[in-house]
Amino acid sequence: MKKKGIIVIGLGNPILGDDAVGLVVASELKRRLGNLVNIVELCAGGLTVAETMLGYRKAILVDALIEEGAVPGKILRLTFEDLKVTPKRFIGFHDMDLVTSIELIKAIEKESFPDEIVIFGITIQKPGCYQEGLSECVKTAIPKCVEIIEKECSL
Amino acid sequence: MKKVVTIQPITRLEGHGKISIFLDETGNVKDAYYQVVEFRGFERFCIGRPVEEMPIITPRICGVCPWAHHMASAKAVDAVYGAELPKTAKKIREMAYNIFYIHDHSAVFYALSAPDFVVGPDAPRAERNILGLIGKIGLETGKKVINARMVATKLLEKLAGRAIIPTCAVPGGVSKPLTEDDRKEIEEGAKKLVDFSQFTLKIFEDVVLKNQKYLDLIMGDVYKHETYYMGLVDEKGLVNYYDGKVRVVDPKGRIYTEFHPKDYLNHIGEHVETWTYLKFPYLKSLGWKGIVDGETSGVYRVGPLGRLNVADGFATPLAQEAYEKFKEILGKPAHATLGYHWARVIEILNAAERVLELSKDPDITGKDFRVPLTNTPSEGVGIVEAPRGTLIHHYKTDQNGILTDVNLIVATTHNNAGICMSVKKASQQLIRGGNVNDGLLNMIEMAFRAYDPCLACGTHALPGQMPLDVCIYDANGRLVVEIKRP
Repeated sequence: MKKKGIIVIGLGNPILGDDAVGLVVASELKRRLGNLVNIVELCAGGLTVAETMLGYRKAILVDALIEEGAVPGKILRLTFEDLKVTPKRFIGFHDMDLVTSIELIKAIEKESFPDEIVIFGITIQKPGCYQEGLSECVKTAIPKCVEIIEKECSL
Repeated sequence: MKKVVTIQPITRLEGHGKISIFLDETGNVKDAYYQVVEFRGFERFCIGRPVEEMPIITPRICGVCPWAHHMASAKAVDAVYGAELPKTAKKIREMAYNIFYIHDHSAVFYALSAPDFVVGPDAPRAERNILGLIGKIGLETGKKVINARMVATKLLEKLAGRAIIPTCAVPGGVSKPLTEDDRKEIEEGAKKLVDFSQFTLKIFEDVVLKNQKYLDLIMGDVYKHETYYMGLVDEKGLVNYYDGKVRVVDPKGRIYTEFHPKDYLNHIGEHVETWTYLKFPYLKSLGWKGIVDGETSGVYRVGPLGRLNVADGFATPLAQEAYEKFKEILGKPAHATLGYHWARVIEILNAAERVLELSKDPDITGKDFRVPLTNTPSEGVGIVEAPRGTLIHHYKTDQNGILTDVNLIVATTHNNAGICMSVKKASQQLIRGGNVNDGLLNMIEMAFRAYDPCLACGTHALPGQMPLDVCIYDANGRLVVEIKRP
């Protein structure tokens, strides 16, 4: 099966404060890259995320990440293998955890599954309540994250 | 002697919950609780917003059932404005909602229910999941499930622009009409979904119903409660997920009451306990008698089992045939908690048949798809059957349509007492003399997994996959077994 190029999937919940950062990054990338890369903003988790990647050579995920002790706004580049070795729990909506979902879809749809998955996590503090807008620390990470992903897309 | 056992992973439930089991001196179960230990009030977030925003905001409470909140919310906003929808709009909404049912119910069946039966309730924990299931039933079946979800996703996108966080329903109708090309595509997709639903029902029948051990498990006393049931029925008394009146039946299956959604507060009360954030709804006329079943208790259950128990049947032929078999084996009302799984696969078939039926309805491509909102807004209630059970949205606004009060009662909350009872009963019957093993603990988990609780919805809490801990304490209150998910 001939796969399409790259898909960037921004994940998050727009009414959960900093959890929305993946969506904001995706939106900014869409503005800058236009139709050059397929960019999706997804308020979902698990199986839906894994299904969205099908048919692409490379999938880039951007999501909020909670890492114990980490300063909010830190950008981490992870591969799928990193997730398996040191499970980082993504927050946002999940109908099944991401690792299981990816393993499942990969097992079933091997031919159309991406050859490469890269995950960009932006560290946040655990959101306390429903609210709109990002904290200043997390906002400052956005231009850098956008720049890194643009480079990742041109690799 | 203190013994702590940590078993990982538990990977199949959304939300944040804790099961605490307390043993007596002989090692038998004295008590068990299902607790929800996190709360992030959603209602407060909504106050002060224009009510029209609610059908877009509320789906973000939960990534598992966004369409249920979308539809309940849209119906509540319609009611706030006193809008009477054109038939085309109603039918498009119902069609979209039935497609969502197939998408959601099939994921729940294959990811949550089937591993317990196909892989086995006492299989090693690491294998008792959807990956283990695929290993057992083969990749081809896995492909069928994913393909069916893809078909459903595409159809939802056709109707709503996007499958997740929908924009299909708007106050007074739907966002766009259907073209003839759209209709044809939906009809073709619906045929595939009917085939897939029949395939799924056959898997259930082959794996579960033809296995006496599983039938005994389903029908046994471990997973049985004689409660009241609640669900929406249409004007003929048949199952309807999108619209209708609320019917309640008693533990003998007799109609106890029927009411219009706007009158729900006359019938449903909410009890609060200090040890959990999740409230306990009950039937007001019977009162709160505690977490107990029986005819004098106000506890009721909702969801697939509740719907099949309250309704007189299904409006579609294949689902009706399957329902007759369900009744013949489990009785009516069916009190077997594990019957939720069977009811769920019958509903997948019903939803697929209904989508096909609606796709051929001449009204579905009508051009009258929205009415203007001309009345002064005030108060409205919208009720749908979410896949997990009755979902109530109740809004009050000022005369400018700004929200002043919001109340949501979701399926997992309705089922709270039922889940607690199920966990306690299963624990009491399965744990004897302090002997606990992984298989037994899974069978206790099965008691609540049947309800497919969604705690993101239940507490309107921080959504996402959260820890579910199972803790067993001895007679001295010492923790002897602990199971955590990563």
